[in-house]
Amino acid sequence: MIFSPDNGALSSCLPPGTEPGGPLTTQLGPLTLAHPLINASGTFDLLEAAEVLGQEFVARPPVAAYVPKTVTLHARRGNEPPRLVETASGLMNSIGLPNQGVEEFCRHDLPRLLGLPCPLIVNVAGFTPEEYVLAVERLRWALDEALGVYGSACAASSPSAAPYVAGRDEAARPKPAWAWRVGLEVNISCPNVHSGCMSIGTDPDETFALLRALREVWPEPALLVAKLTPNVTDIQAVAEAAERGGAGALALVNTFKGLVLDPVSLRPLLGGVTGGLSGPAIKPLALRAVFEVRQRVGIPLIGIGGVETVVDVVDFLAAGASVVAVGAAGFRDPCLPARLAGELGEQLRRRSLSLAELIGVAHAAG
Amino acid sequence: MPTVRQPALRLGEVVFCCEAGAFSRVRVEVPGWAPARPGQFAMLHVEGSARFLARPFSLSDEEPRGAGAVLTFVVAPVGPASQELANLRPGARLSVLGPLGRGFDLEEILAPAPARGACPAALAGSPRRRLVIVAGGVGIAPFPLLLRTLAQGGGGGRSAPVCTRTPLLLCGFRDQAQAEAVSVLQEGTEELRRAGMGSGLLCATDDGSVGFHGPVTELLRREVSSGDRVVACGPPAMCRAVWGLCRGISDVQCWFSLEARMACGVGSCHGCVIPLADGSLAKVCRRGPVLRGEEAFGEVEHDLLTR
Ligand SMILES: Cc1cc2nc3c(=O)[nH]c(=O)nc-3n(C[C@H](O)[C@H](O)[C@H](O)COP(=O)(O)OP(=O)(O)OC[C@H]3O[C@@H](n4cnc5c(N)ncnc54)[C@H](O)[C@@H]3O)c2cc1C
Ligand SMILES: Cc1cc2nc3c(=O)[nH]c(=O)nc-3n(C[C@H](O)[C@H](O)[C@H](O)COP(=O)(O)O)c2cc1C
Ligand code: FES
Repeated sequence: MIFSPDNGALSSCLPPGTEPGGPLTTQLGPLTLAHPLINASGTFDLLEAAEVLGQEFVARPPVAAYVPKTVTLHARRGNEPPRLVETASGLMNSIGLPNQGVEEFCRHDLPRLLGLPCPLIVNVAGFTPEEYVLAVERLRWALDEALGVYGSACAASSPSAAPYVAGRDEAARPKPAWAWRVGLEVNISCPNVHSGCMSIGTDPDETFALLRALREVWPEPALLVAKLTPNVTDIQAVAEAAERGGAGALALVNTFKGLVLDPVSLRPLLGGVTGGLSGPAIKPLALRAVFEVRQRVGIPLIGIGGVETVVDVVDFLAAGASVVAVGAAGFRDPCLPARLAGELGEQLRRRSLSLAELIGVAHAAG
Repeated sequence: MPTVRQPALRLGEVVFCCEAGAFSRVRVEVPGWAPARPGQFAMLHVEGSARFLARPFSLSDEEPRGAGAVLTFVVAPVGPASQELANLRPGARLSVLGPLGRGFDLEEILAPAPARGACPAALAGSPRRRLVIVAGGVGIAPFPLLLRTLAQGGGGGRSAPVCTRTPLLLCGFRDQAQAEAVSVLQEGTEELRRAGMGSGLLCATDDGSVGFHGPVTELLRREVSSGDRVVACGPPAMCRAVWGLCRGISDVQCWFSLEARMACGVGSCHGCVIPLADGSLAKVCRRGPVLRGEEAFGEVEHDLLTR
């Protein structure tokens, strides 16, 4: 633990070696990350943390890129409580994607998030493919308006004057000027809602079609990440479909669908009946997913699932992830990603490895 | 310039642990601790524990020590994490994230009642007006710090208004073993006495072994009267019953410290929501844990509330 004696706080400061341009710098498509540790969507609210724990969180976030909680086209209440319960080495949740909807997100949160000193990866979900497309379109308008568009003279002042027309010439397509600082993660993997989302992400054909449609409204070179569910027989097939559809990176995995009963009533305990399992209990399962997907696709991977210690970080990188996300373990310590980044630097020095040499080393012969 | 201390994750060390009836009283020294309000809580996780998440516990007391404080928690051993905490020995280390949440807003609770037409002099600061404190079981936990804060109000170091009401403590317990926990209030009531303020204390037990035989809400029914302010912490059924009783009495306002399962304590996870009276869901860790009766329960059927 980083323990600063002046006020006894377990520090939020970024450890040495994790500053931009340092030895831990890593590339996620067009985004440059100062180190490979980020947060998993829905497990860390930077704006809330800053309100409670101090504006230091916004000035120097404990993540190399920030992923806000899933946003949907319309506002959602989420599932009824109880929404959480601890299980053996893990956490079952049925939160159900409560959020303010993309319109409010673009108005209220986005301007503040664009002021962060690190890249932003907005996570979007929908209940039909059309909802994904509309939500992403709305987000893109907001970004064009705030940050401008290349190749479109009037765009910066009036983005709606240069509406995107599907099927237009690639060369004529306005290029997002913000691609180097904002990415998109599509959540096709939430197990806690009853339509869309995970039902898309369990089907390679639907996954391919959705990514195709999203590439039209979220053009290259902007980062498009598909967040995959492990609740499938063949995750490699879904991963390949996402890559063919135009995904520039994959995030794996979301939670494993599970069930907890109330010990007294013997009825389902969670308000959403079933839930999603996360935490150390799922780490070997998630690691296997990253390892197998790495064998089949060439795009960068974000490893997620049960990351709690630097050993987990090293494992995911070795299995082929270029970036590692901290999920539920961050509830105990909101600065865990920064701490793990510092410890990763030490590990690399101890093993005399560069970050690039570590990534994927589990696949090397011998 | 003194640095402003903020809520943060800090490492604490147990300095003392003893039984308080069926509960445990755990004292933890935390360097750098930012002063808390009564009713706030901290997320606790024992170093090396096999539990995955930290757990929320009310700040029961707080005494400044050096550049930090010694915090007291009152822990009911109901499951794995609370049992682990209740059995800690001096020297054990734990992470403490806090102080968190909105505690009891004493400015609001002790604000003089608005004079409604009647002679304002008769209403203002009438000593007969009481602050009725209702605790059920381990719901006694937040009140030692509340008493201390009241005693130190109006210049005693803590920023609290002068207490113009007489505190009356009503504590309900299951049995004699639980009722011994009432000892946690001793320091607070003594500090009140030293500050020249009286207070009353009545106990009730479900089995009649100590004090009144019956629910603490029956004591409340006998004691509460128009103009009183009520703060309560305990099982949800008790809180609803308190509200059911009080909302029918003119000029009685209530505040409740509520519970939910929590993962983060800072608003990140959306896990701790409870339905409010208006049907919306609110995060207990951010909007609460202390909520006004109107916000939390609203116009619920009276007989439903009193069971
Ligand atoms: C703001 C706040 C302040 C609290 N202050 C105190 C305190 O001062 N002293 C104290 O002893 N406890 C307090 N609690 C409750 C305490 O957090 C739980 O008892 C503890 O988390 C239980 O963890 P465990 O692992 O021991 O038991 P678990 O195995 O998690 O639970 C044991 C039993 O309690 C039930 N349970 C657990 N948590 C809750 C909950 N939040 N709501 C309803 N039922 C639940 C479970 O269903 C189970 O039956 C507080 C809770 C909150 C939200
Ligand atoms: C409380 C909670 C809320 C979550 N919310 C989201 C969400 O809104 N969107 C999403 O894509 N994933 C969400 N997830 C999944 C996490 O991002 C992550 O994929 C999963 O928890 C596995 O990582 P972990 O084991 O490190 O927690 C959530 C997980 C938890 C525990
Ligand atoms: S405990 Fe996480 S939002 Fe309240």
